[in-house]
Amino acid sequence: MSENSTTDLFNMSKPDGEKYNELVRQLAVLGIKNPSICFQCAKCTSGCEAMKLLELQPHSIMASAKSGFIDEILESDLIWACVGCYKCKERCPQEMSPVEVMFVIKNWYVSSGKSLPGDYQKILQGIITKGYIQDPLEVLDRENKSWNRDLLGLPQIKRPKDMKSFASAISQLATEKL
Amino acid sequence: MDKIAVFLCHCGDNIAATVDIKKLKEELSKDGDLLVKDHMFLCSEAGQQMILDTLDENKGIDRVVIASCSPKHHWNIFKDCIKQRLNAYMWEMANIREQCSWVHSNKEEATKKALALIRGAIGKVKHHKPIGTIEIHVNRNILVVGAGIAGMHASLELADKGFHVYLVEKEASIGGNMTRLGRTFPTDDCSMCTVSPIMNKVNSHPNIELLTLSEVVETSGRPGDYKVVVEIRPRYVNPDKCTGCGLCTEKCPISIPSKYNLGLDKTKAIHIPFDSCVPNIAVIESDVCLKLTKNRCGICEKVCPAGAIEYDQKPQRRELNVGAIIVATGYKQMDLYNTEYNYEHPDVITGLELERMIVPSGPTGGKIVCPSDGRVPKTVTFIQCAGSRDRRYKEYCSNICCMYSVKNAKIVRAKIPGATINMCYIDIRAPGRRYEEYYKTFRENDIKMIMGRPSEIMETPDGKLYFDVFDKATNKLLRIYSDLIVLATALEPSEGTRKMAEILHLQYGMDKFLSPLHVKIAPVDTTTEGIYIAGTAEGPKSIQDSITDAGTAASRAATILKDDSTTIDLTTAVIDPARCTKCGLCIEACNYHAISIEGEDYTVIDMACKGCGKCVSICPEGAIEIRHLTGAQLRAQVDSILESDPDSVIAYTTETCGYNAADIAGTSRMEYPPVVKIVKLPCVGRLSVADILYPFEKGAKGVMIFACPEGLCHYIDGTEAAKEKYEKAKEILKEKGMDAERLRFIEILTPDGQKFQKVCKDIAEYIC
Repeated sequence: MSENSTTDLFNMSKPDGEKYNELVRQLAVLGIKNPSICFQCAKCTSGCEAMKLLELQPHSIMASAKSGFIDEILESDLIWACVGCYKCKERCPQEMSPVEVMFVIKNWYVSSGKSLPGDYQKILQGIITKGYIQDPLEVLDRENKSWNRDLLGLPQIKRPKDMKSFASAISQLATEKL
Repeated sequence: MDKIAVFLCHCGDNIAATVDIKKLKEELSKDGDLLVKDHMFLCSEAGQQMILDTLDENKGIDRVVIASCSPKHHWNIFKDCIKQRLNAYMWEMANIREQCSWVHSNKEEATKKALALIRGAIGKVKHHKPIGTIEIHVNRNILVVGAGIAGMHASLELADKGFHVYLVEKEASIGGNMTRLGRTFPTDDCSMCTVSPIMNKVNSHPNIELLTLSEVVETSGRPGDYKVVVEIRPRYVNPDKCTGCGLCTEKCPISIPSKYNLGLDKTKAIHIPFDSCVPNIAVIESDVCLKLTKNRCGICEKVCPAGAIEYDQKPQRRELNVGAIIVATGYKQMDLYNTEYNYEHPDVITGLELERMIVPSGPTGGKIVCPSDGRVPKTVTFIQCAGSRDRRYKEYCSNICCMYSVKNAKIVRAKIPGATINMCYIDIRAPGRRYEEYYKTFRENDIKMIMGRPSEIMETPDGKLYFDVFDKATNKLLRIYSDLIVLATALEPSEGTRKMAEILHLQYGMDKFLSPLHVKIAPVDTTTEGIYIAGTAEGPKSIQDSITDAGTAASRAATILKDDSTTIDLTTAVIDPARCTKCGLCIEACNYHAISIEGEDYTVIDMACKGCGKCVSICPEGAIEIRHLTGAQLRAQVDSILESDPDSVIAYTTETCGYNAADIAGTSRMEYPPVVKIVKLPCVGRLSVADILYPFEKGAKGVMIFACPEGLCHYIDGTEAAKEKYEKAKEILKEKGMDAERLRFIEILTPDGQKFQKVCKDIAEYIC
């Protein structure tokens, strides 16, 4: 990719050929074809669950990836909205995989030492400290009476027995994967 | 040895400025067997006269070498000249312009190379034998398979020229899919009104013999003389007696979904396929008829006033003798059951099903309705590329869907003025004449265009159809509820097309459509001479393109059928029965089915053989040769070049891309080192492992193989075949401890003179 000829006039950024090549290489390891094959039919976005909640547009992620504006994706909070349902990969008429493009880039983001944006950091912290994204909440009913799982007769949720080794195992797994 | 005449051309100073013609003359004249003459312009009338005079004055001369320009340039001029005195193949051409004077600047080196090239040609021509011609009997009947618009048009073209045409159709009526259409783009003509006169003309044409309910099951023979076995299913109705009154259909108790109307309504076990079908007579569906399955009922026989019902008809076989075959077996719509398009829902229909609703005489009387309950839809949505441009289903574009959906949306708009009409698309392709203008008039209608593809079509619990789609133009995710969804379903080859590919050994692509001999310059020819393709059997295409195809195919067929016999040059393969062990490798290798077993022996079908020489390269016994480039000729040419100039790299090129690229390097004056000496082959597939290694045995400094790029081989897979042998040859060189880098394989295209120059420089640099 000859990147120097093009400039994004909104933020004066240029396509990053090296990152693009690295993305293509890592996707190839996963058995996924070059994003440049994508012809922008937007079928992925039509079915995207995260689109409905947070306006994630996988086809536009693919377009940015194709043109080499990888940093733009890397800095975007939106890719963290992907719920990993894989519908985009399943339905793509060109056998692309926006979900995995985002996974690769999310991995880069974390391995560069940056912390996850906003609430996603809390989710990660929750998993490492409690074993859950968050503790089951108590809720109020119409009479302002507080209910929890015990009062409702629901079984206790199992937690990891040894929270410390669970946390280190998770962290190790995450870093190894990266 | 008889004398050989060598003619040197100055080509003004195109050759003479860089190649020392005088010195060449001196050197060559040292050989007493050669008579050497030169001329300023050998291709001129005076030059040709000199050749003829020389041959007249020296009766001992029986072969000629012409050293001049590229054979691509003047081969035919010299061939026609020499043909007047000698056999048309008793001469050889040495290219000392494009391959020598135009690409070298050092006069001494250029002269040395020219000498080597000429000596190569002399060495080769010594082994030339006259190549004869043969006269082949041609059966002037023709078979057209499939009576859709392409098959009918081809049949009429040929029948009008006076050929006897057998038109074989699998269904009970001719007409094909075009009879199902409502209107056709870009004119909005009524389809049936266009096709019906053609059907009637076919039916009444004295030169067309129509075989309905018939399928080709077997073929054998050669171009110009095929035997075809056709199986004819019984109609159970005597075509001579049936008047098409329809009384039988009225009384028949068995209802079945109508195949013609794509299941949108019912018909009876005995029925007339459709209004104005040809022939307009009834047919019994044998698998549902009570009389034929359970020997009960028999009502139709009782009510038929003409006594036309014949339950005891049996399937027949008929053998036809024809000289050529046109395959026009057409397409069918792809099956979209069990996909995200929810085609199981009755209100999700295909474009072809919508066509049936558009036709005034169709199952809905020309009304657009929801098939589930017959109500008029308030929202109609067209979804483009359903199954097409999708690697999971059909990778190709189905070509006609944009235009027919544009047309259908316009018609729906006119028929249901209050309806909301949506179209989900990726892009609209309108590249034909008057297509963009047609698309413009479409945009004047109120049709909501959504630039995006829905992910899946879903239903609400009460059965209402909806889908989500992201519209790239407005950047909005839309949820759209529709009463009727029309899919622009992908086209795929019909069963008949697939069967014919098998029976006739035709090549087909990954998409299963039949492959033409050459996509651009031989679009209706197949790899077998005498078999042509027309219409959508070759790929999705419009009616006008199918008709263009059909006319071309008819013209191609007429060319080979123009006389009762035809004369061809025997530049073909020939088998030595004494050495042939009948191992079958050549039969397997031949892409043209040109080798057949006749009695005990293998023989070459001269009319089918293209002379590529692939069979030669694999014969373990050396029992097969091509007459225009025998092993002896090839070796002699290499020998003579190397004797003349031992510091040579032998460059084998294909006659087409490889040789052309060298010519382009020549005409563009791209200099490359003179060590490279070209040896022309019909196709690199001709090379055996031994042929590749032979120059090394004789001391060549290197060997290059210039092949047409894989997939673009003019003989289908010669490049792959040569590559295999190249790999083996490389292994052998390594085993013998020789430098395998001196053997190179280059895939090259005609215009790539630059690449030719570069690889020649590379190898010269390497060996020096």
